[in-house]
Order: sequence, then structure tokens, then C-alpha cells
Amino acid sequence: MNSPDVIIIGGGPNGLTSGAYLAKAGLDVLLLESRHEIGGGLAGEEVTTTGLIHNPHALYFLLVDYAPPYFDFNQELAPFIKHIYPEVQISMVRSDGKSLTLFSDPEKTAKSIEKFSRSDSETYRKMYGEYLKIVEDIIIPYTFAPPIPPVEQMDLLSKTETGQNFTEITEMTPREIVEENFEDELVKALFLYVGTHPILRYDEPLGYLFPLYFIVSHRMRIVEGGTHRLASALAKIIIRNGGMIHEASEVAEIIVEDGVAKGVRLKDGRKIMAKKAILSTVDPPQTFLKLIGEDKIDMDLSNIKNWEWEEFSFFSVHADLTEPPVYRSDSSDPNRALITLIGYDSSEEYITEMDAVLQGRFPERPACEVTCPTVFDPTQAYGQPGMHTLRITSYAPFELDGDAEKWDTFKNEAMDRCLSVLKDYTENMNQDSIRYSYPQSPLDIERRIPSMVKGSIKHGAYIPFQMGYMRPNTECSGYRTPIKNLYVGGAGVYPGGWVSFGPGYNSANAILEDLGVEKWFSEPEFIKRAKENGYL
Amino acid sequence: MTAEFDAVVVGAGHNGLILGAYLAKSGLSVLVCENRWEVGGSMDTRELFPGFKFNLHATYNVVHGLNPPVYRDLELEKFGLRWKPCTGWGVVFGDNRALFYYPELKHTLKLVERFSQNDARLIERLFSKENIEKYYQLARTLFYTAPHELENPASEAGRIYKTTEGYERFPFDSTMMEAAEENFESPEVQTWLMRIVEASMMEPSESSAWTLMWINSLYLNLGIAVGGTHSIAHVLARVIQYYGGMIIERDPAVEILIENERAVGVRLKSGKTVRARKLVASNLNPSLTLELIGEENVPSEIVKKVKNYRYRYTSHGSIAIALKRKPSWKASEFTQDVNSAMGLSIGWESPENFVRMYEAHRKGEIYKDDNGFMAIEAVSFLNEVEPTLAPPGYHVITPAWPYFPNTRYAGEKFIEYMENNRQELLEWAIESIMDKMQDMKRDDIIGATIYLPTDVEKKNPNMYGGDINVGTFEGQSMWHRPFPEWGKYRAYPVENLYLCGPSSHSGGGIKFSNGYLCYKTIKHDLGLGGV
Ligand SMILES: Cc1cc2nc3c(=O)[nH]c(=O)nc-3n(C[C@H](O)[C@H](O)[C@H](O)COP(=O)(O)OP(=O)(O)OC[C@H]3O[C@@H](n4cnc5c(N)ncnc54)[C@H](O)[C@@H]3O)c2cc1C
Ligand SMILES: Cc1cc2nc3c(=O)[nH]c(=O)nc-3n(C[C@H](O)[C@H](O)[C@H](O)COP(=O)(O)OP(=O)(O)OC[C@H]3O[C@@H](n4cnc5c(N)ncnc54)[C@H](O)[C@@H]3O)c2cc1C
Repeated sequence: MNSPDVIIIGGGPNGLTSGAYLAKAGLDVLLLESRHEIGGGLAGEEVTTTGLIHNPHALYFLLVDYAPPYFDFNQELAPFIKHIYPEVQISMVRSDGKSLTLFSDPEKTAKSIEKFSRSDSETYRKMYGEYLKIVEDIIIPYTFAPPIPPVEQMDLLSKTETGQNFTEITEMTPREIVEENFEDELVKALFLYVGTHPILRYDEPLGYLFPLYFIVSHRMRIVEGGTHRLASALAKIIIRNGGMIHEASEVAEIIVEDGVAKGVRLKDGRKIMAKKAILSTVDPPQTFLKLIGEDKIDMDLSNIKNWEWEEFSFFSVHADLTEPPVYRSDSSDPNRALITLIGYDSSEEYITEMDAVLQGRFPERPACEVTCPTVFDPTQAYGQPGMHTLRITSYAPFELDGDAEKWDTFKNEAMDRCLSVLKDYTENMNQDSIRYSYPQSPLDIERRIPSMVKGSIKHGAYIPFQMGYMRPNTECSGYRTPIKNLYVGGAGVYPGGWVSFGPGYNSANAILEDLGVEKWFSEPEFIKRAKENGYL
Repeated sequence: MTAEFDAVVVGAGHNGLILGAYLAKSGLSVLVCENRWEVGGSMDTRELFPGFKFNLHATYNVVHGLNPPVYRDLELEKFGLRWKPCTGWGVVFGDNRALFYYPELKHTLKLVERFSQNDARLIERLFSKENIEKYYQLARTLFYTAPHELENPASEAGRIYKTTEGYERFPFDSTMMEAAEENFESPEVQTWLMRIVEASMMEPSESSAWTLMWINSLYLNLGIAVGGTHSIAHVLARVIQYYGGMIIERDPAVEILIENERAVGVRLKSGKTVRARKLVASNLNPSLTLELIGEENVPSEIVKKVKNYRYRYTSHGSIAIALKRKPSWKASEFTQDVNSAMGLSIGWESPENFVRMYEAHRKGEIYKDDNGFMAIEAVSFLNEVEPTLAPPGYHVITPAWPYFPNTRYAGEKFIEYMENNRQELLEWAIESIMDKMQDMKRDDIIGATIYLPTDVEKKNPNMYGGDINVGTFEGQSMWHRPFPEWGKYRAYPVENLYLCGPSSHSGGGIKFSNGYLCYKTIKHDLGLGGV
């Protein structure tokens, strides 16, 4: 086999994104994926009965309005990707049937909040305006550019009012932000969910994420035909531009000679050399400790060796339904919401739930996030028209009382708990309407995607030491590493996890700059603006 | 919205993809439209339980030993396709003895000797190096020669066959069943050889005896795709994309546009109209193809022939089991090696069973073996050959295909019965497998599920009633498949409309054949420079 210019390890959203940018820039790209199918978190699987697509990982997309790949590949994606933008984004049903709803339209949301608290509604309006500015002026540009050292960043931010507003909340916890701003219990519960659901502790002092989660919770899309379409469409760009993708190709070693990354050795014994660069999008401990080896790298490895996996993960239920859920509620919003939240009435209850999970337990009555994508996209039931697919996710510990293997015997019980909450909150969910259900435990997440160690959906916890300029450590957060020609660009690298495309986009930029290859795409407007405003 | 391509292929199954890839590589602009969200049709590998991957449908590439021209022409290896040789393939009998192919003939013969010395000697003669070379040559003639290249490949194949040693034992006018029974003395050897007839989707009573040995010889060299069968689909799709072709998933064709008796494009479910400057090809069975063309666009005798097209009475389901521990076959007391063999079918004792099974299927009933167990084709712990299919230390049973009657022919009541008894059928299948294992415990099972023939059809409407061959070979083979007027990959009288699916010669299966032959036909018709 001819040596490609660039080898990419891992075919998740970041590996695929980077591959698409590099291939279109004329580089000869080979992407190696250990699974039988590309996509990583962009997965689709008919896990229940045939003809119903379920989305075991990413389901809703947060940055469709901002992420550069959507614009740069607009033409290539257009024939394959259509996003659906539900008007009702999140609706929360209280046990007494009252519902609180977050619409894509902030005005409508404010009205819904008003039913619970006039003052919260006012606060929400104010926050929305303020946060939108923070997000669009600062956070989005920062997501799609290499990280800036903290001191330098503080300095840049101190120069504007928006920057100062942002700095103020930087070290607050989601709980503090919510407590400080809202008075109604249900409203607090909703925004605590908003500020933590990407697997963040309520007491983690990472307040700068809050405005982002707040704003993008109004912007969530699903992909028509299921999440995997996006992986498939990105892969097509790579191939169309002369690149190659090999599945069932687990990388076992990155070959480093004299401080230069030369190629990879696969688990099946194949050895493939790269002419110009190697990009790893797998988790940092795997990249540095397993694939390279401590002795091959001259770098302070303490952050990597002490890498913390996420403290909790998701337990999900996938179910086939004869009809979509109808909630016992005073409004129909929960029935047409992208996400319906059930199982808790206050931020305190939400915190109690999360505490139980943090202590290694799965709650008796789990707090559930329910989605039924077929309400918006019947094509996900392509083989059983009229049927619906449902997903419930709840927070769950990776280890149940200290033992992850326990999930294999416990997961049916956990599924019953979630379904029982669903049945309580709905009028029509019962044995007849739920045709088939299928559990997925945090252990299953790791089994499916080896870089989501201990069910870490973001390849590593969001804690201050693993964020920003320090994700995965100060030497490598700018995608380059002390090993020549070796780059990193998965969720374990700045700006982190979820399908942000950030690590993929930024690592591609770094590689193109180092190789002196001309960029075929132009700098996003928001970056230009951030430069003008002095944030970058 | 209208788009324009040189060629539009309907259906991204094995054959649609092969055809699309050849056309794209020869410089045509190509669109392949597919109903499902993923390409591949029955080349389907699914991670049903996280970390555990299952080939729900096709698994064994029976033409691997032939080194099909597609491999080379489309550079499949460069695009990432890798193969593992298959060890085994055979039968575990009710008395827990087993007979299967080893990668090396001499080991196979040793095993056959334990059933019959005479049979072993005969097989040794029939599977001599020279004979196998000829068998392969004749198989290539049958699978890879286009209509315009040879008017009658069967007679050419027959001519080659007649140069093989021992051919006279398998006369053209007797059936495979007769030939097996007359030439081999051990009922187990007969059963083992006949198993493959069945796996090749032929019926023992109809097919001609001469097929028996050359078909069996293909099973000496089975290939298993690394990463699961679906990887073949990926690779073919990428060849298409690499050469500028476009594949659009989840947008099935709802109409083939005909103007002046000429196929000029398709209309997709999304409402888009796609014009085809040169040709439209269908990967679908005759009835689905006709639905797309519209009955009014073909003469009534064609409509009649389409309606008379017959599917097999046998259909398949699929069992997927994720295991903590790999059990040992009871047959390992007979021979240890059974534990590393693949594709071991259960439920067969003698050729007579096959006849009984087909009778049951004709009546719309599920066949049970002599002890009331389910007959299951090709039970395999495939991760032994292809470790990427299971997490380290764990195991999968895949494939394992229970036989069922064609659900459409069996009728609504039967379909209802199946749908309502999924769990019971799964239990029955698990018990049938456990009965053949020494030490398999319920606790070892992390997950298990069953796919019924109705699921096969729901996923892929091409497989009418769950018929994986998409039409019986009986009276519907070679250039008479699906029927003479449509038999050479062209859909008479519609011009520029081609047929590349399993209802054309050489039928179902991952044979790298029909799509290739359809391409050769198109190339000939259009005078393409080509690959
Ligand atoms: C249950 C669940 C729900 C989620 N919901 C959402 C959601 O709604 N929205 C959202 O935006 N995000 C969601 N996420 C998070 C999101 O899926 C991930 O954060 C994201 O996929 C990370 O992208 P990545 O490309 O960095 O890594 P991954 O997606 O993890 O991809 C890495 C790839 O590398 C492969 N790999 C690993 N090791 C090797 C090796 N040695 N050699 C070769 N390949 C290797 C893996 O198989 C994998 O395909 C969810 C995750 C989970 C688990
Ligand atoms: C359980 C089982 C086990 C099998 N085992 C083996 C084996 O081990 N070895 C072997 O060689 N073979 C095996 N087969 C048989 C083999 O898989 C099939 O015969 C072969 O795949 C069929 O040919 P194909 O790929 O051309 O068509 P198909 O796989 O039938 O593909 C047809 C495609 O067309 C699509 N389609 C349908 N309608 C439309 C429309 N209107 N517009 C667009 N697209 C449409 C379908 O979704 C599908 O993708 C097995 C099959 C099954 C089901």
C-alpha cells in the first residue's frame, strides 16, 4: 500500500471532520477506525427490531448555527443532510402536570416561564440577551480557534464589558448561577439541567460553559434520517477527495522514531507509514500512554497519567412504540418537545438524583430525558411506517457499587425503572404501546466505543485541570505535540466533547498551517469579528 | 428539482454497488439510490449488543477461491477490503458427530474416513488438484461470462465438466440427491455434501447431479470479510464515490421514468426527478421493478411473466447471541477440531431431511428435526476467525440462520403467528443450539435476539417472503432468469433499462457476479471504454 500523507486515528465526528478538511486541501488522507463502522458518537443502529433507526449516542446537535464545517461543506452536505429544528426544544413536566417549556424562540420561552415566575421570566430575557452576546462574540470564536493561555485570555477579556461579564461567571458552579438568578423551583430545575446535562457536575466551577449551554439549548437540531447520516456524509467528502477509510483497523501503536511520528502499526499486524502527519482523535491516555508509550515522548505526562474520566455517564433505553408518548400535562408542549424532562420537580431533587449517581447508585426513580425523534422525522421508522422510536437517558454511574460488570445483570432492572417513570408521566405508555425495549448501560458505551473509557462521552471529565489550555495538557492543547508530525484532535483536546467539531476543525487548521498547504476555506466571520474586537 | 446523470442504479445491494462502481470507474456519472439509511442490502453487520457485532445476513463468500474479476478490476484491497479464510463449514449430526471441511483437504479426508473409507477415497479423487482447477474454471465460466460473450455458458461449463475425472458418476439427467445417494455410502457424507446444495439455494430434487461436486469444491475456499460482511458494502460504495459517483441513501426510487419505451430516469420518494442520459438499472426483483416501471409500459405477456415469477419456499431468519464464554460443541468428543470450525449446520441426519424440510416449507410449516429441534444453518462463533466482532474475551454466535417457510406463501396467519411468538422462537433456537453444546449455560448469554424472515423483508423488500435467493432457480436460471425476455440483464422491451439484481443470473449470494455481468452487458451495448 502507498503511504498516505496523513493518517487519522479514529472515525468519530472529529476524525471525520479533520479528514474532510485535509482531503479537500489536496492531502492524501487515510482514516483508520477500529469499529466496523465509522462515526464514533455519530452512530445509528437498528438495535431493537428491524426498520427502526435508533441513535445510541449523539442525537441532537448544538452548534448547527455556528460550526464552520456546516458552512465550508455546505455544498457537499446539502444532498445528504437535512436538519430538523423543533420549535419546542425542551419541555419539563412537573408531577402535578404543569409544564415549563423552552422554545427555540426566547420570547415564547419567557412567556412559559412567566406562568411560574414573573421575575424569572425577566431574568431569563436579560440572560438570553447577555449570553447571546457572550456566546457569539467570545465562546464561539474560542471554540473554533486554538486555546489561549489563561493569563493572556483574562487580559483580552478584561478589555470589554461582554468580556468582563463572561469573566464574572467563569468560576461559578452551575448551581450557583441558577440559585443566584432564579427563584421558582421548576425554573431552577430546568436551567440546572440545561447547564449540566452534557455530563457536568452541578458543583463544578466551570461557569463559563453555562452561557453556551444556555444559548444552544434553543438551537438543537436532529438530523433527518438519523445521526449516522452525518458520519456518512462526512466520509463521502473524504472519499470524494481521494482519501481512504479503513474500518476494523484498530491502531495498536504510533511508530515514533527519533522524536518523529512515522506511521502506525495496527492490531492485526499491518504497518502503515505516513508521509506528513498523524492525527490521533482517540482519548489522551490511549494516544500517549498506549499507542506511543512513555519512553517515546519527552513531555510532562502528569496530566495524562492522572487523567480523570467522567464521574458519571448515561444509561439509555431505546424503545419501539406504536404511538408517541402523550404526557399527563396541562399543555401539549411536552408531546412535541425535542426533549421532555420528567422525574423531578425542583433543583433540589435534581441534585439529589445526581448525588446518588455520584455515589455509584442508580436512582429508584431516575430523572429522565425523553426524546422521540420520529415525531419530527418519521423516516427514522423507514421499515415500520407509523411506528416510533423513543430514547430515555438518565445519569448513571459507570460502576454500580464499585463494579461495572454489574450493569450486565442490572440493566433490565434499570430499564424498568426508567420505563416506569415514563408510564407514570404519560397517558398512553404501557405494555401495548411499548413494543420492544433495549437498555444501554455506561459499560455498553465503553464496549461500543473504546475511547469513551468508563463511559466518558467526552473522552475525559470536565474539571478545571482538564479544560481550556490544559485539555489534554498545556503542551498539546494546541493540537501539536512534542513529537514531530504528531497531532491530537479528539474530544479529549480543547475545546472538548460533544459534537462541536471544534477539535477536528482546529486540528486540521494546525496541520495545514504546519505543512504550508493553502487553506481552501476562509476564516469564519465570527473569528474575524473576534479579532477585530480583540478577543483573539 | 431535477438532476442529471449518465446512469442511475436503483438499490445499493451487493450487485447495485458493483454495477455502480464499474460504471463510475469507466467514467460515467452515476447515481445509486437506496431505500435504507445504509448501503449494502443484505451485506449487513450490526452491533446489536455494544461491542458485539453480528452478520445478520450474508457471511460466507463462496466465490472467494475463484478470485472474482471484481476484486482486481475495482482494486477492492486498496479500498480496504480484507478477507479471512474460513475454517470448517459442515454439519453436526444428531448423534453429535460432525463432518466439515478443513482448510486442507487431507485433514478433511481423515474426517470423512471415520464415516466411510470408500467415500473418502472417492472425494479424494474428485477433489484432486486438477479437478478443482477445472471446477473453478467452469464456475468462472458460469459466474463471470456475459451473454454476448457466450450464448450458452452452461454447455461450455458442461464441456469443461466432462474433462474432469469421475464426471460420469454424476449424469446430467439425475438429481443431486440421487447422485449423492448413489455415489456415497455414508448417509452423513451424503448429508454433508447435500447441505451445500441447499446452501447454494438449490433444491435437491430439481438440480442436476453434475453440480454437486463443483459446488462443493467452492466451499474449500470460503472467504469471510474482515470487520463483518458490511465492509464489502463500504468498500464498493467508496469505489463509487472515489470515481465521482453519488450514492444517496434513504431516498428510494418510486418510479422509473419511461419515455418512448426508453428508460430516461427515476423519480425518488423525496420528489426529486433524476434524469439518466444513458441508462437506468434495477437491483430489485421483477415485481418491484415492474412496480417502478408501471404495468402500462410493458406488454401484457411481460406483466404475466413477472407475476408468475416464483420465489423459494424456504426463507431464513437470523439469530444473534452475545456470550461471556465460548462453549464447546458436544461433537468435540468426536473431534476436538469441531470447536474451531465455522458454519456448522444442525438439524440434518440424512438427505431425506432436506426433502422433508422442503415439503414442510411448501405447506407453510416450520421444519423440525427428528428430535423436535429447530434446523439452523451455519452456527458459527465467527469471532474465532474475525476477532473484531467481539470484545476481547467475549464471543458471538453469528451467523446462525434458522430455516423458515417463505412467509408470503405461508400467508397472513403464519406471519401473525411468527410476530406474536418472537420470544418463543428465539427460545426454541437457543435450546436447539444449547442441545448441541457441552457446557453452554443461560448465564453465559449476555444478549440474544432473533430476526424473522419478515424482518428480512421489512428491511429489504427485495427478499420476497424472506427468500434470500430472490427467486427459485428451478426453471429460472441462467439467461432464463427471471424469464427469457428479461434474462440477459435487459428489461425488454424498455430500452436502456437494465437488471442487475439477484433475480438475474447468477441469482442470490455474494458472488461478485450479477452486477459485473450486467456491467459487461452495458459496456457492450454502449461501447464503453471501460475498466
Ligand atoms: C449516550 C450518549 C449520548 C450522547 N448524546 C450527544 C448528543 O445528543 N449531542 C452531542 O453533540 N453529543 C452527544 N454525545 C457525545 C458525543 O457523541 C461525543 O462527545 C463525540 O462523539 C466525541 O467525538 P470524537 O470524534 O472526539 O470521538 P468519538 O466519537 O469517541 O470517536 C472516536 C473514534 O475512534 C475510534 N477508536 C478508538 N480507539 C481507536 C484505535 N486504537 N484505533 C482506531 N480507532 C479507534 C472509536 O471507535 C471511535 O469511532 C453523546 C454520547 C453518548 C455516549
Ligand atoms: C439470512 C441471510 C443469510 C445469507 N447468507 C449468505 C451467505 O452466507 N453467503 C452469500 O453469498 N449470500 C448470503 N445471503 C444472500 C445474499 O445476501 C443475497 O442474496 C444478496 O445480498 C442479494 O443480492 P443484492 O445484494 O444484489 O440485493 P439486495 O441485498 O437484495 O439489495 C437490494 C437493495 O435495494 C434496496 N431497495 C429496495 N427497494 C428500493 C427502491 N425502491 N429504491 C432504492 N433501493 C431499494 C434495498 O434496501 C437493498 O439495499 C444471505 C441472505 C440472508 C438474508
